[in-house]
Amino acid sequence: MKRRDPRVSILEWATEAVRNLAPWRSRGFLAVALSVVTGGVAGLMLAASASAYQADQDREDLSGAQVVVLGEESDPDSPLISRASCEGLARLPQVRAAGTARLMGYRYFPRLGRVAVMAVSPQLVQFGGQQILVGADLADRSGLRGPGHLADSDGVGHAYGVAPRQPEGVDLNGSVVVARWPDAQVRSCLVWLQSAVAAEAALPTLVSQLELQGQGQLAVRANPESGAAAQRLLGRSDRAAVLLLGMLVGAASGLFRRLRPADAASYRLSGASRMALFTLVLVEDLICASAFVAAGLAMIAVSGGQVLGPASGLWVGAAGLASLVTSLPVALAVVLPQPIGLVKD
Amino acid sequence: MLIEVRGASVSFGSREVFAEVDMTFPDAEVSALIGPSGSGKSTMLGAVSGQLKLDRGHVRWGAASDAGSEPDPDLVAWVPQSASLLGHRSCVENVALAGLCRGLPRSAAMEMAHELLADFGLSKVALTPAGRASGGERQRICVCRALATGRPLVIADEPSANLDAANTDLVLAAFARLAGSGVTVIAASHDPAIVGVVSHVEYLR
Repeated sequence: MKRRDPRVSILEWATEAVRNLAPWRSRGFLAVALSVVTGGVAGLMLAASASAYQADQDREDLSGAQVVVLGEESDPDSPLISRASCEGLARLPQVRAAGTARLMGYRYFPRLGRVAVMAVSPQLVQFGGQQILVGADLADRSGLRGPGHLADSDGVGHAYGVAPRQPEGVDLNGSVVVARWPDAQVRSCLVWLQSAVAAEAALPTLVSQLELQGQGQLAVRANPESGAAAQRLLGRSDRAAVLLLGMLVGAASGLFRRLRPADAASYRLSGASRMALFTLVLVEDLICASAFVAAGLAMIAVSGGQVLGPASGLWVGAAGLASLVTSLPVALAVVLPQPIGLVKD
Repeated sequence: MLIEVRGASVSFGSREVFAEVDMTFPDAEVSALIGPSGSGKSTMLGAVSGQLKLDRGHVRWGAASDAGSEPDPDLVAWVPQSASLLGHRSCVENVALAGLCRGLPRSAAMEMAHELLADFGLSKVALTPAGRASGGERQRICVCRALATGRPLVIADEPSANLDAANTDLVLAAFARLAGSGVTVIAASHDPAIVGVVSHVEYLR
């Protein structure tokens, strides 16, 4: 007389879950709606936080916090640095740009007046096919937008572009910049570190890559606050808040389920086994978690996708998982009792 | 399916619910389990269904001539006192759930549910959300669902508690039809009026 538990496909339970959650009058719909709203809030929080971080990082980058100066241009006892090894630092993953910069002299341009001309490594400033670059501040003052042709005092035209704004420590914003460097050895090397890199951690690698000549000590100038924006990013609380929002959704899903014990009883009284009911409940919670994640990702894409890495999406996914885990205890609480116990609940 | 209860005793802590009770519920009949509130009717139903263990005595399912078998909760369909239904789903979907849980395809389960509702005079509410059905209709939908499970034993706990006389008659008539299809029905009630319309009565005092 023992009855075998019939196999009901997962697709049937998924259909049941959708029919329980989709009608706007059902209590399940409230759980889905809450998941969507909360997921949107989570995405918005991450996007806003990322935007704030990006602005913070940009500000810090331009303040020169990420610039390291190796060697001392004005010190004749400073060891000589191979220019190639200095420019080679630009290939390191911790480094955004590296190279040398040297004042070549002053020159008159009819549209700019008398300005400093700096010779720099193309690994330090990207020339983009131009012969010369006009520093960002100088271009602002002169009303130059570039690219175009800029005549010198002899009437010779040069293809020019406007250089991206350089950080403090790479003092090119008020100069005309040319990519020309006759010297094989220099006394100082400028390194612009990536935003998240702390100079203290990167220095041993940087110094070890340099080819030095001479007995003197290599001077190093670095900002102890470098990488602080990234540290602030790691220490921010919005990710924990997003996880908490996920848990809130899970708790709310559980609460809505506890408010409708008759639903679970109906399935058990219809002959659904505990495992079958658990499958249904799990699919319902999965739909709520998915709604949370989808809304979060959509909000990120709409409000700040361009400044967010994949990590933000992962945090939204983790929050969705947290919602699923949080809802499990209540799921078990409605699955384990005998059906008639659920009716009396 | 014949059900025999012999020497049944249950206590909750120091409170004795019932002791040394013998009962027999005949196969394919509607039996009433009558007793006042607190007499242990629900406890007895739990024991008969296999959901609750007796302190002493035993419950056997099967013909008197053989040794019978232990009660199996998975072979029992319940009609609860408060009609537990999915309120936002239609009446026919509520009944069809039982077919789905038996492994029937959805279309076959829906067809069976429509037929059952028609048999019990509920066709006009078939597509109505169950939450909008009347108390009597909801109770009869629960009977349909119990029948749709295809289980050989139906247990109803106070099925008339929330119903007026007319709806009580309809529900009891539905039980009679269940018994007519070979199902054993046990209905617990504190209402002596039910005695006159069932084929077998057991008392708990």
